[in-house]
Amino acid sequence: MNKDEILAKLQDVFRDCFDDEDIVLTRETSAPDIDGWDSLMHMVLIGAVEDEFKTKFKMKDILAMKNVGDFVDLIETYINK
Amino acid sequence: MLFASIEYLLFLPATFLLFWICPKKARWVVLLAASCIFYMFYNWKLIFIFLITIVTSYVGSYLIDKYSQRTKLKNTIYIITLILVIAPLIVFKFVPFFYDVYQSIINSINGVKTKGILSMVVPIGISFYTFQTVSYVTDVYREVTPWEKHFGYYSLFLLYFPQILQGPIERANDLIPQLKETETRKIKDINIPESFRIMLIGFFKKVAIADLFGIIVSKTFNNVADANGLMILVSVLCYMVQIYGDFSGYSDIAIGSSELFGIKIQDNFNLPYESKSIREYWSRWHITLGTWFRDYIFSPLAHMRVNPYICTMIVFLVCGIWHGAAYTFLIWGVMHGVFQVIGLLTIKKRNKLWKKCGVNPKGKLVGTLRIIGTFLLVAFANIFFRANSVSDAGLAIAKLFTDWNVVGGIFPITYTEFGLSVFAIVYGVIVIFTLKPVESLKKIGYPNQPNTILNKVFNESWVRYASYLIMTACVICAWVHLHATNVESAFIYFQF
Repeated sequence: MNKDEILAKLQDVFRDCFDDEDIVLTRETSAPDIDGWDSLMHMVLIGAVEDEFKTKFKMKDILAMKNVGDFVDLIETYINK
Repeated sequence: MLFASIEYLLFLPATFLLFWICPKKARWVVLLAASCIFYMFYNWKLIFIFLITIVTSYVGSYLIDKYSQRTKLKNTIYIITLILVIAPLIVFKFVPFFYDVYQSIINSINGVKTKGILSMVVPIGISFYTFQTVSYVTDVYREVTPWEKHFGYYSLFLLYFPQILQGPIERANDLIPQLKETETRKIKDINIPESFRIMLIGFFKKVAIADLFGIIVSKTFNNVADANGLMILVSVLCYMVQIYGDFSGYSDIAIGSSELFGIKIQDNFNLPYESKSIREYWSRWHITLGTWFRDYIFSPLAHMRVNPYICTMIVFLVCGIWHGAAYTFLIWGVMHGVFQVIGLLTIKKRNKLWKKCGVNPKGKLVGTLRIIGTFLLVAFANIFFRANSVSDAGLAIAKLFTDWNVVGGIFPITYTEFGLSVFAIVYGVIVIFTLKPVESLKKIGYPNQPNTILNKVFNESWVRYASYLIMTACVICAWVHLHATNVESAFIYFQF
C-alpha cells in the first residue's frame, strides 16, 4: 500500500470517527483543522486506525505525530514491518 | 484577601506603586512579599503548609534534574516528590472525609447515632497550588521545563497573588519567564486602562451578577425541604449564572490585576454555555484545569493504553474529588464523565436519526438544540455541585420533577417566595442578557474578533464608555446592597 492509498483509507477512518463525510485530509491536516479532534477523540481515532490497518502502534510513535502526514508515514512503517 | 474588598482596593495600588518605584532587580521581592501578605491575610499560619510544598518541590525537582541520566533514581525521586507534594492536600481535605465515613460505619455497626467530626482548617487554594506544583515537578521530570534555580522566582511562580487562590493553573514555561522579565520591563509598556477595563468587567460579573444571584441560590439550597419545584428550577438556573459570573469574574480580576505588572495570565473561560457537547464544554470551562487533567492524568493513562473511555471516567472521578471530599462532588464528577462517554458513543446514532428526520445534524437547529441540551445537563449535574448533601440534591431533583403545586399558579412567578422585589426580578432578567455582550465587550480590540453585530456596536467608543459607566454604577450599588444585607462575598472556588 502506498502513501496515497493509506491517506485515502485514513480519510475514511476519520470520516467515520468524526461522522463527517466532508472531511478531506491532506498531509498538513492537524488537530485544530478538524472540529472535535481533542485528546479523547485522538485516542479513539488511534484505536480505529489500528483496527483498520490491523496493527498496534507504540506510544512513543503516537506521541511523535504532529499531523496527518506523520500519521501516514507511521502507518506505512508499521504495515511494511 | 478577597478581590471584592476594601483591603484589596488598597493592597493592589500599594503593590503597583512599590513594584514600579523599587529597583528593577528587587521587583520580584515586592511581588513575593505582596503575595505572602495576600495569602496570609486569610490565616497567616497556613503559609507554613504552603512553604513545605514549595521547599519539597524545589528540592525534589533539583534532584530530578541532577539525576536525569539515572532513570531509576530519577523515577524514585519523582514519585517521592509527588507523594510529598500531594500529601498536604490528602491530609487536609480527605482525612476528615474518610474519618467521617469511618465514623458512620462504626456507628452503624454499634447502632449508635453520635458522630464525631474531625474538623481541620483547610489551607485556601491548596487544590490549585498543589496541581500547579505537580505540573511543575512533572514537567521537570519530563524535561519539558528546566529546573528553576532561583528560589525566589520559583516561590513567586507558586505564590503569585492574582492566581494563588483560584487559578488559573499556570505552567512554569508560561509564568516563570514573565516573572523574570519584570527586571527589564518599563511602565510605558503597561496598558493600565486595559487592566482596569478587564478588572471592571470582572467586578461586574462577580459583584453585580454572581453575588446577587447567589442570594436566590443560597435561600433555596440551604433549605431544600421548604422549596417547591419552581423555586428549585429557578435556583438551578440562577446557580448557572452565579457560578459563571463568580469564577469567570475572578479570572478577569486576576488577569486585570496581573496586567498591572506586565504579566499575562491565561483566560480560563471561552463562552462555555455555548458548548454543543460536554466534551466541548470542558474545553471552554475552567480551561487550565481541563488541560491539566489532559496532560497529567489522561495522557499518562492513555500512554499505558488504557481504554480512552475508562481514562475519561478516571479523569472526571478525580476531577470531582479534587473539587471537594464529599459524595456530592464525586457524583458530579462521575456524571460529567458518563455524559461525555455516552455523548461520544451515541453521536453517530443521533446524527443518523436527525438525517432520517430530514434535518441536517450540522445545521443551526440541531446546533441550538445541542447547546440547550448541554446547558441543561451541566445545570442538572450542578445540583450535586451546589447541594449541601446528597440527600439534599436528591430531594431537590425529586421536587424539581414533582412538586409543582405553586400557590397562585406558575405564572406570574411567585417571586415573593424568594423575598425579591419586582425591581430585583427586572434587574436579574436584564443582567442575564448582558452576559454575552459583556464577553464581547471584554474582547473588543483583541485581534481576530468576528464581525458580529455586538462587536460593531462596541466599536463605537461612546457605547463602550456608557457601558463602563453603567457597569461601574451597578458594581457600586450591588456592593453597597450586599454589605448592607451582610451577604457573604467569597468566591465559590475559594473552598477548593
